[in-house]
This record gives sequence, structure tokens and C-alpha cells, in this order.
Amino acid sequence: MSEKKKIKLLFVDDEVKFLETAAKRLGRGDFDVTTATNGRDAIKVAKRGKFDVALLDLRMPDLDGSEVLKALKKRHKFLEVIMLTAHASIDSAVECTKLGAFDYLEKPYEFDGLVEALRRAYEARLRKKFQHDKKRMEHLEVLSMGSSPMGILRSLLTLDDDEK
Amino acid sequence: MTSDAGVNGEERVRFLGRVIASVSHELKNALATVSESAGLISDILRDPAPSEQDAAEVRVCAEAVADELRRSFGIIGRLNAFAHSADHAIAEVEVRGLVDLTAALAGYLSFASPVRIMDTGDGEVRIETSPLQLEDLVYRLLESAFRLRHRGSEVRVAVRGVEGGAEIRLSELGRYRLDDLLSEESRHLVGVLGGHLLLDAEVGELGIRLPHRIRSRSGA
Repeated sequence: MSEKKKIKLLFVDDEVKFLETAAKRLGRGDFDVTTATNGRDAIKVAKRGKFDVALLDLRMPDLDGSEVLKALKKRHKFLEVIMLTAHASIDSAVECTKLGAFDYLEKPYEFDGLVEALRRAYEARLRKKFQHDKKRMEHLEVLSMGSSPMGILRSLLTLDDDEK
Repeated sequence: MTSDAGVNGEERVRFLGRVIASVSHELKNALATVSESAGLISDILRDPAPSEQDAAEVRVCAEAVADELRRSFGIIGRLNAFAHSADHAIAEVEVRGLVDLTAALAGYLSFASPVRIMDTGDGEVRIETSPLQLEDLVYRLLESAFRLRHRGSEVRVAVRGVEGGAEIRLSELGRYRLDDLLSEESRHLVGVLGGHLLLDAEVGELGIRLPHRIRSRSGA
């Protein structure tokens, strides 16, 4: 029996009760949620698992959410990140967008709005990945016409690197 | 721009704005937890066959709501106490209580480190001063401490009664240059309160000595 694939979500917030409750709610729906309560742990957890979307508190005591955003976007090119804050400002929204955030939400939010934003982020991730894979396949097709088997293998390994 | 009478209106509004922003940040976090807890209870109750684990979940959510409401009432209580600081331009204040309140308000800043008010054994330390401007000064000092020191490292504050008034000492800040610690505006504020700064590089503390009674000035 096939089960609907859940969206793999990394949820980071230093407000532990909020994090746990919101994660449980999302987990009852279409999300497979992993939580972290600070920026450094979030970066470590992201290295270990493969996530579709990250939901990131902007203000945390150890590392600012924007620093975590930068680190995540640098290492995980297909990961979409939504910023969450109780301290919204136009300046921080612009900064996060420049750093590659997919969306910027203010606490407290409408739960349905959050779910919708997460779904849109996931779809954007799929589109980005599809475009990337398509380009790679085209590249491999060209290569396979003239390259040695070793050359093709090297290209395939590069493809794996991009997946991280 | 400043005047001898104290920091100007724009600066005062800026200080109030900073406090309100940090308090609203804290309240929104509490409300977000309440909102999610209520939502989770509602989701569970919609389930036609809730499990035993769901029932336990409802209890956890109800406790979380109660905790967050207590937290919110505490925040509002402190905000109310702060609002009354502006009732009188000059009033008798208990310095440790004032520092404690200001540290709690500054503690809502996202980058805030823990602040520990040390027990100096001096009991109550009372002076006659401008409560709002002293809170402004303490807030600025704590902001500097949070900005300059490692995230998460504790800031210790000691309040003592000294001859002629009171002294507030902040740990570790004595290692920094005064220009890095306090803006010109903040140093002016020290003067307005009739106080002076003491940088004790040996023990690494920054002290502010305040008089028993501020010289009464219009607008102070």
C-alpha cells in the first residue's frame, strides 16, 4: 500500500513549547518534522538529513536566523527556507529575501497560511530540482556521445555532489 | 541633539520604542504558543477516534496555554510597572528593583544574555532620581553588554549603597573603551542623572555612581 510522501521539514525555534506544539500539528498533516532549538544544531541536523523545506526563527540566542539561512543555502542548494519571526520589520524581510529566503512570516500566524507557504516552498524546491536534473541529463546525453565511460562516471559523481 | 534638561523627546520616544518592540516580541512568542496549542486541541477534537496519546496531548496543550498566560501576565505586569516610571519626572526609586525591571525588559531582546542581579547584602538602595532616564541608561548599558560580549555569557550587575548615593556595577565591561560602550547621548544621560562613570580595568567592571538626590531641573 503506497503512503503519500510527506514533506521533510526542518523546524528551528528557540521557543521550545511553541516549537514542539507547532511541530506536532504539522506532523499530523503532510509533514515529517525534525526540530532544532538553536542555529548551530540546525546546521548540524541539516548536514545529517535531507530536507525539502526549513522553517527558521529569525531571532535566536546563539546564531541569528539570517546567519543560519546563509549557511543552509550555501550547503543545500535545493532547500527552500521560510523565515518566521515575532519581530517583523521591512529591513529584515528584505535582508532575508536577498539571502534567498522563500518567504517571511510573522508570529502569531494563521496555521493554514503557514501550511500553504510550506507547500509552495516545497513545490518551488521540486521545480528547481527538476530543472537542475533536466539540465544535467541533457549535459550527460551530450557527454555520452563522445566521452569515455570514466568521463561519464565523473559527471555522475558531480551530480551527486549537487544533491547535498 | 541634547539639552541640559535631559535627553530630547526623540531620544525618549526611541527608548520607549525599543522597550515596546522587545516586549511585543515576547508577547507574540507567548501568543504563538497559545495559538498553536489551541489549534492542536482543536485538531485532536475533530478526530472521530482520538487515541489515548491524543488525550495526553490535550493535557500538555492545556498546561502550555496556562504557562504562556502566566508568562504574558508577567510581561504585562512589568510593562505596567515601566509605564508608571514616567508618572513623576523625579521620584524616590529603589535602585535594585529598577535595575531588575530594566534587565527583565531588556531580556526580551533576541540577542540578550542572561542578566544576574548580584546580592550585595546592602538591602534596599534608595535614591531620588529620574526613574525613566535611569531605566534608559541601564537599558543602554545592558544593550552594550549584550552587543560586545559573547552570546549567552552572563552579565552580572551589582547595586550598592555608597557614600553620597548609589553605585551600579556591570561585570566585564571595564575591559572596553568608553567610546565603544556608550554613545555620546548615553554619556550625556549619565551627566543628566548627576552621575559619573568608573571604569575599573583591574576587575573588569564598569560602574555608574549616582547621587542621593538628583539636582531638580525642568524636564529632567
